[in-house]
Amino acid sequence: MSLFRRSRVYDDLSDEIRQHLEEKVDALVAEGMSREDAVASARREFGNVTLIEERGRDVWRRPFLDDLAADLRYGLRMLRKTPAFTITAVLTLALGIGANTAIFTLLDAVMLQNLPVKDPGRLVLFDDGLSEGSYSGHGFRTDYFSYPSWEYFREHCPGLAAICAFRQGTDRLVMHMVGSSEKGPKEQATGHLVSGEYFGVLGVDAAAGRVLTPGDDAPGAPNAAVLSYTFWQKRFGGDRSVIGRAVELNGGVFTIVGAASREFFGERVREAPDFWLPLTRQPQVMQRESLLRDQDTYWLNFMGRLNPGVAIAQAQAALDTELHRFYTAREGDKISDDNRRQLSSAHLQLKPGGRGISWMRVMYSEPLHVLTAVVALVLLIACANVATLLFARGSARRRELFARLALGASRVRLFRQLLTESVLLACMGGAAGVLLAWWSSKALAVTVGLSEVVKVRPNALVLCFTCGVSILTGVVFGLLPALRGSRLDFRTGSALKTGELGATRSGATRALVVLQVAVSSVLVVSAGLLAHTLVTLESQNLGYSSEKLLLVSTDPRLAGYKVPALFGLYQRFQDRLERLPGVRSFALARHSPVSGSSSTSNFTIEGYREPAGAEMDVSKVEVGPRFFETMEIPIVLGRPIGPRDTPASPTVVVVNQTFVRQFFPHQNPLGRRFSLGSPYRAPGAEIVGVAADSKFYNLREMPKPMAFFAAWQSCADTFAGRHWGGRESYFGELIFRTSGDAAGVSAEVRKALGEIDPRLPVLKVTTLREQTRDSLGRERMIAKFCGSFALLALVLASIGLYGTVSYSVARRTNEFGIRMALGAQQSGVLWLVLRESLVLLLVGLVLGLPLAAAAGRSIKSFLYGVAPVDPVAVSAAVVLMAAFSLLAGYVPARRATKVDPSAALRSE
Amino acid sequence: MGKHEQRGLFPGALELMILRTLKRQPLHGYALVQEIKRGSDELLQIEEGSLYPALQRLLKDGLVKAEWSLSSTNRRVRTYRLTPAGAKHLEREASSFQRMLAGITRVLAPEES
Repeated sequence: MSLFRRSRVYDDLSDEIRQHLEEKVDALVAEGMSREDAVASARREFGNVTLIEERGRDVWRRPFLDDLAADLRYGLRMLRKTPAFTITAVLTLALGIGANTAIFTLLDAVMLQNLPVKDPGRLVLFDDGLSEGSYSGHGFRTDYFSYPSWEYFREHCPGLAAICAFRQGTDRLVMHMVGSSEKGPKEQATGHLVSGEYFGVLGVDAAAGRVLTPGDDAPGAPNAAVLSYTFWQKRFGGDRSVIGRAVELNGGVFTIVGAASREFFGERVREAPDFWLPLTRQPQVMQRESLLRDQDTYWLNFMGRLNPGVAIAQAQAALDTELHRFYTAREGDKISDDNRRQLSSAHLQLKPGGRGISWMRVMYSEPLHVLTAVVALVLLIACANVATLLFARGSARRRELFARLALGASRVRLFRQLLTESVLLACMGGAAGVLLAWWSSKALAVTVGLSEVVKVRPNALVLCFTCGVSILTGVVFGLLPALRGSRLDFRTGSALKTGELGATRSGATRALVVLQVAVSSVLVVSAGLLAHTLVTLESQNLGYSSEKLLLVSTDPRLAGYKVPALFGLYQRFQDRLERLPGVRSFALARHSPVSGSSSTSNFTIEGYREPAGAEMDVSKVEVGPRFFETMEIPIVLGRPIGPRDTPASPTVVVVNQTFVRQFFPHQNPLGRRFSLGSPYRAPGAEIVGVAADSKFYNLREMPKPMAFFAAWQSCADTFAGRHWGGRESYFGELIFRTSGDAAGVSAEVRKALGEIDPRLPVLKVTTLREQTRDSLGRERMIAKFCGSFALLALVLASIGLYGTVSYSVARRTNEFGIRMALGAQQSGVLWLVLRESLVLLLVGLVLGLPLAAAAGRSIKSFLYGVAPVDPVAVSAAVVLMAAFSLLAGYVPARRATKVDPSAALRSE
Repeated sequence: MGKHEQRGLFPGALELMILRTLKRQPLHGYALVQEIKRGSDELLQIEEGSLYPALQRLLKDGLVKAEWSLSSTNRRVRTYRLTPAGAKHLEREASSFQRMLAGITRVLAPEES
């Protein structure tokens, strides 16, 4: 019978009995008795009404459930009566549990989630590296592959049921719907070149139309294009009639044959490309020469599906053999000993492909693990805090507990009631925590850029985890105060009066506070280290001034320029753009600084004997005239790249100091020559200048050899010994040193570009400051999180400290009163209380700082320019914690000084 | 003789008497008490209130049902009625009790003088 029906039953019973008595009284009065006598007599004859009612109700009792219900009701009432405590405790728990769940959810999403494809467990990648692009040069690569090797592996893939190839990277497309009357700037889109087997291997279906098949790769086949679901929705509104229409992409006409299924976003865990295009259409899409016969350009990755019953290791061994066979056949008879040796050491590294290639996983897996540790610590503090709060509260309820014991409650019952209250609190905290977790997982995913791609919602696993944690915390911190609370000894009669115990030991409470302080110190110091790292990274000297540098991206290729026309365009750039108002100086470059893109090439120096095993690799950048002046990178020897360096003049190059140190130590590098690739091909490029070292690619890099070539010269057919002519001639990074605010100039730049050629798209406009900030996205995120958690921990620890000190003050009220009555000053009492806070703080720091040092060492890989035991971070942390502790202790201390001595004396 | 010692009825006795009384006619609490007292010719002294826990037990076991109605004197009373299950229970227990009583009586019989 439910509780509602039961209360009806009880009401009926009471009514009945009342009626009975009334009837009896009436009957007696009718017999002649007076009313009062009748009532008394009726009651006497009836019996004890209260007892009868109780016995009547007892018939319906279900002892365990009823007691539980009573406990819960009582618990709720008690919690309502002390809202400050309840809210603090629930919030504390909610934050601890919520944070835990959010991180766990994200961890699951980033680390564990599979690609939304059929049977992801059987997929293998030939390489799971993050880099995208292509490599040129002779070699025996096992991470990137050439098209001829794809043709070979397509036929020879032992151990794999199916294999496909795809370009490592996506391409920018200029898009125009055929037959559309829209004029104006063409649209931009992204395209991914994949072989016809791609969708088959991954097991992805079409949401509309069809996906690519091997037939689409055939030379004479019509150009097919598959839309991603997102793009289909976004651009075409999910309109099915777009299937079959023709679209112009980078000048080639493609037919849209379908859209991929809804969840599929590709093999890389990020936003899906807009188009999937057949691999053989590479020249059109990449807008460069055909790579389909090129043995020495590596631009593909392979993905396969294992044969049933075949393990990865088996397949790898078999495919390795094929790889060696392929390369050996390619070399023919003229294979040199050196090459033979190189080849024998080249091995495939097959990786499980079920989770796709995820930069998130690589970049964030370590931080996420660190964050998990952090959050676990915060939960620990939260539990300790609530335990402390409960202790403090327990002492206030002593009188109530004593009274109940005196009235006959059993200890077990009392214990159960206290435990129920704690578990109730834990459940409330857990529920609030789940809500918080749900919300913050979403917010977290958005911050990290995952929300589009990965399903981030608390799944069953996470929920179980939360509930488990919640119950556990309830049991753990419910047990301690409950144990303490029920083991009451009220031999001393005064206990009932004042609620005092004989000898109270607050050792446990203080230990908890010390623990909290120690753990907080670890977090605060770690946050300090990360913040310091961030500041160091951002404010470091890059080798050039980072103020007032405007960066604009364009792409002559998308505007339809062919190589012969590029030189003229670049000259027009230099003429026009440097004269803009507000621009002190302008330069063209292949990459803008700190953009994350770089080009590397191997090279050979004329007349230089390479030490065995030396890596003859150089990072190269093609720059226009005035580059060094614009960037304000000093030239320490020779001259910078200038307007004299045209396609007609000899190829020149400027190297950096590290290059000189490594390859021409104590020699004059000017006049020496080298060529890209191997072996040396005359006439190569002549070194005409040496630039100071600078950080060009990312903020953490170590100095490495760099070569600055002349962008104008790369329009020539042969360039520094390699046959150029193609993608490498297109440069679109425009770098402006402005005299005033960079943003104001951007409007002028757009206008000028439009005047030079309206077809030139403006792809990105940013300043170096912003670009720097973007490149620190990961560091930022970690520092922000650690900082928030550290603050949280600090607040929680302070609350704990406050609670403990309050409790101790409450206990010692009489003592303070007497002290003051005996002449102690208010400041003396204040100091007495504050001293307690300071002692707790000190002990906590003594325990916590060594742990913080260990933590610092464990996150060494994130730090930059900051030692794991950084004096700045540590002292800042200590100061911050002292401030919080003193504040937390001050409030109860002030209360202590307000004690009225006479009242204290009276109550003694 | 000193104070009357109230001997407690054996468990279930009150319930049986209630059921028997209700078999004759549905009654409400007060009337039921009067009936039982009258029916035992004042031999049994029952505390009136103890009726109610017994009635609750009978309700819980489904042997009677109750509903509010207006009595003959226009009083709002809760009338109890025997259920079929209650009737069966009464028959079974009453005959079992009679057997037991007969047995005890025989054992307690005064000796043949």
